[in-house]
Amino acid sequence: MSSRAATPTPTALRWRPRSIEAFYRPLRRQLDHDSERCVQSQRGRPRPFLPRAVTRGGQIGVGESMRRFGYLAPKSVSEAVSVLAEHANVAKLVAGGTDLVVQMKDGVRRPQVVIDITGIDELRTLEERDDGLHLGALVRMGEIENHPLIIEKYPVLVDSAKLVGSKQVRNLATIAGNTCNASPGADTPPALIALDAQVHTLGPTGPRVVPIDQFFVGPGRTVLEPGELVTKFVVRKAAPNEGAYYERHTPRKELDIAVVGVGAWVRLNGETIEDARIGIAAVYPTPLRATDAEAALRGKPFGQAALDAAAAAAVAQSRPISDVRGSAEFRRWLVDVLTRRAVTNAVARARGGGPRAGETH
Amino acid sequence: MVHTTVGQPVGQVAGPLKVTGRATYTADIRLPNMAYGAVVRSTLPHARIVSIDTSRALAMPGVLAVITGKDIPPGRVGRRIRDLPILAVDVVRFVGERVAAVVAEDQATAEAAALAVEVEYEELPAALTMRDALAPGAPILHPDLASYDGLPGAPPQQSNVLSRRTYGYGDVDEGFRQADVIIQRRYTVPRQHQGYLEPHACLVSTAPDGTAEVWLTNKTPFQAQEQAAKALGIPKEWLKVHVTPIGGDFGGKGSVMDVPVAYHLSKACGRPVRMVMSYVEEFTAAASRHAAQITMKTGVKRDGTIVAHQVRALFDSGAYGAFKPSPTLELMGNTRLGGAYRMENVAVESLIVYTNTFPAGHMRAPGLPQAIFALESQLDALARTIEMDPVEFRRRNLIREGEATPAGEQWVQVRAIETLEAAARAAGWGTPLPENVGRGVAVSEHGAGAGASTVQAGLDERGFYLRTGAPDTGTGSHTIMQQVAAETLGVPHHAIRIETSHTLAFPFDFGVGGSRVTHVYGRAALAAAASLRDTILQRAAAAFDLPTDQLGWEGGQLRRPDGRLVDPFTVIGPVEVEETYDSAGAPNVTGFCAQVAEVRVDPETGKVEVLRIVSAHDTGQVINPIGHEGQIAGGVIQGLGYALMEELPVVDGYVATQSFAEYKIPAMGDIPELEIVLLPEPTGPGPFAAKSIGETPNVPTAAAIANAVEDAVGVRIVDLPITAEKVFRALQRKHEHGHHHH
Repeated sequence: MSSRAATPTPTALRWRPRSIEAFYRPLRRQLDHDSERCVQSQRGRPRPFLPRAVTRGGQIGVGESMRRFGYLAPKSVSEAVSVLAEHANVAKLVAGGTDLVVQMKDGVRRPQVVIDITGIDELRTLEERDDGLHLGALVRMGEIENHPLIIEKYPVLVDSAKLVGSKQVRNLATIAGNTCNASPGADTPPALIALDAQVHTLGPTGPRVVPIDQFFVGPGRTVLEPGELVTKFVVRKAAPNEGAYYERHTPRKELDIAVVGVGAWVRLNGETIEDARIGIAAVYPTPLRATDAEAALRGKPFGQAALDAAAAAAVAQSRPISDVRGSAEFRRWLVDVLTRRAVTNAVARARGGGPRAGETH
Repeated sequence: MVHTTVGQPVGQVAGPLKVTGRATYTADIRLPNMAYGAVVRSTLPHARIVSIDTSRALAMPGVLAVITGKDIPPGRVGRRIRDLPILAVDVVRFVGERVAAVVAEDQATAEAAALAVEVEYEELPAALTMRDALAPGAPILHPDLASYDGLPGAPPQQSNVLSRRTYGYGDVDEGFRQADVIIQRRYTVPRQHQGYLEPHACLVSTAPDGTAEVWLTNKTPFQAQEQAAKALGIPKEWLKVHVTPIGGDFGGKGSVMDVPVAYHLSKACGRPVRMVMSYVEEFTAAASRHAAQITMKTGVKRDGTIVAHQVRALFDSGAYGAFKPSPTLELMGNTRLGGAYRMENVAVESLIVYTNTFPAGHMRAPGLPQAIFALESQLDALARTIEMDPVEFRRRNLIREGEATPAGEQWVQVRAIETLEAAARAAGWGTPLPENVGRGVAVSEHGAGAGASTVQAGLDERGFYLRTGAPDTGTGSHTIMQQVAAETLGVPHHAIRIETSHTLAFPFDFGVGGSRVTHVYGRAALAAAASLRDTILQRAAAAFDLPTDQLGWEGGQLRRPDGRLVDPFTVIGPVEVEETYDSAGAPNVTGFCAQVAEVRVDPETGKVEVLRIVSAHDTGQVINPIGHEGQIAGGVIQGLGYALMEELPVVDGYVATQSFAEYKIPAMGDIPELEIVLLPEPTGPGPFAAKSIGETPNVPTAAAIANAVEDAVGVRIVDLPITAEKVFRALQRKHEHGHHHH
């Protein structure tokens, strides 16, 4: 018995001290398995899904305890920026906590300081102004899915927000959190891409505005600089000849992550699709803006030919990988099917009909 | 018979404690000076341990002790066959096997120290699948199998076959010659985790003399006492095992898991040691349902007669058989590979196979969902091939009173056809459905479990009570006992309190399992309550100096000849009786279940949505309608998960789904409309003619859904779960096939 306790009977240590080789497979620590999948795909060498726990030092089943961390709760955006800048490399922002707390419990993220921004009321804006819909960073999924103005004029946001997690998760999860977590499989980014949302940020060097399709850099990574945080999203005011729709495929109806999700926005001029934007989840290292599919629709009459071209272009632009949740081939097929559905339903909404907000397939 | 408490929807005994968070589960217990354990687990599926370096772990502040397999007396664990080392010695046989263990002042330190233990392995060829394990020249996992304690029958030859069983009659070859249609298919079903909320936990407090007090998450505390004692090589009387509340069992909580390790850690540090498995450990190294490959070849005549049925079933035991309690190490589902159908010639062979994957165990109706998925899919395909309605095909072939099943079981009061017809009627079988919507039917049955158990009943200053050695695993078994006794004593159910006893103060108790609780504990509670009433009447009559028949019994009180009601405790003081019920001689009946699933299939993505399930049960007297309905609803949902999403795929020896984010069980939105149909006929062996319900409703669901998918879109999925991708691919093949012919 090898023991340092005072009480037990001493027993000879019987392990054999030899040189220890690294016995576990060389694995990089991953942010989450979705990110990992896409990183693999980017590297062009898909390999079997390896469980998260094994990456934790190559051992199984341990590491469930959270480490101690510092906690700060700034009361204004400027204060948040200064404390975030001060702790830039060791701090994480927390709002709803539905991603971060889970990652901390799993030991995937180990911030030394957690900065709680939920006390900053100026981040809770939710209103339509002259330039469009302003969604503060702290607007929660549950607020989006139940907001009469959003239900009426921006139903694609309801389609996507309503699919995040479970009801309990949606009562906590925020729009900025779902975006800044930068999971390629997140549901709201494709809808925000479809609506051409502008991300407003504030950092030590001042404010800036980043188009949503330029916001994501890789799995779990965004363009945010150290000390910079998202303050709000601004979506151009909805016009009557426009419509947008989001649909995803998942093994179960809730508490799930998209195998593929497609959001589409169109502006019609009569029968012609004057403009279109398409965002796709879970087929690329970042939420994907399917520019080729958009080009295939732009200026074309809505119909089978336009759908065929858009779906083919979306598939061509996707880089899905195979894993336990679905093969790359199936994902490409889903991109095809869901692109057609998203565009068709976006057109239907632009014409004043289509599925009610949140009533996706 | 009119009952006052039996049949009433009363709440669970422990309900208020559980919903207010006051129930004390094993992991909630804190002892003074308690230390925390963590396990170092194998990271290779098959390897020789070259060395284990514990020095870094031992040097960490707060670490009390580190043990390896060579630091403790050799000991193997098992419910029947003892083949699983407490800690691996020399060889590891699956990813997740216990290699070393650490005890520390707190959980985080224990986990950090576990990560600091360095193990050097020399990798060995691994048999990760049953195909690999059965191939010529396969690595033999257990060359010393014949020497293991608890191995049934003759020592097997050097192979990875842990057990083999055959049964049948007639001549299947002759049967196939007579058949008009023969279908042969291989069905594949995955491992399924029980999905309980409470992971395995234990707390072991050893004394210097080697005796110990044990709290653990276990549905069979007295068997756990024996298992742990045998593994540790100590007399079982040294272990005082407590009965604890169980946060969900579903068949998975019958093994001692970390108890022997915690015992050694407690000995090493001289303090009580608590160990709680993480969910990574649960999914990687607990006791999930066996994966299986079941090949069926079945021949029928045009009139639906089943002339021959040949089966070869392979069940994946994983690296050890330790979690199987049956004396023959087989799963009960082996005996249902021909179901309850009339078949003229039968030949069944089933094998339990060792592989270098985590050990499989028991889950709610062991082996049955596997067998019934294969059988009911096969029969449905046959019915469709001979263009006979699937309900009609089953009606013609289900056994009737006086007939035996293909495995030779014979019951009285067989109500298979009535149950099938009740389900079909409620489901609107035969009525038209929209495009891409289909219906499927499946049938199974499960009898009430048997054996003997003891219940004590008493009266003290606080009132009436029952005492049992069995935990309530969450099914409401204590409430059933309470209701049965209350009915007998003529008091409200809440007038009887339920106590549990640890293993040193109660006769051996078999514990929970095999759908025996309502039958055996219910009858024992009934007998104990009746005996208590009679004992009180006798003693009170003696105290009053009256003939016994001059005293009445009303609402738990004595009625004297002058009409006055008297509290019996004031007359005779405390009294306690003990009764043992043994099911030997009880009528052999089973409870049938027929389910009809209605599904919609998205023809573009292949996604299956279950719209409605009708579950009909030949159920006997319902003791508690809330618990009964909960068992059916929960079972159907578990069956739906098995059908559509649950699996524990093993990739390179690693379980790929290590959390509830990846291991998907149905969420609220996935749960369809459920209609329950009961055929309450007082035919059961249990108290007030009750039958069992726990292991029935989860069994036919997957087949009913698979059959509905074929009805909806014309494709047959033979491997669970029925994912969208599998349906999509099958639809693609069907279209290609169709174009080919046009």
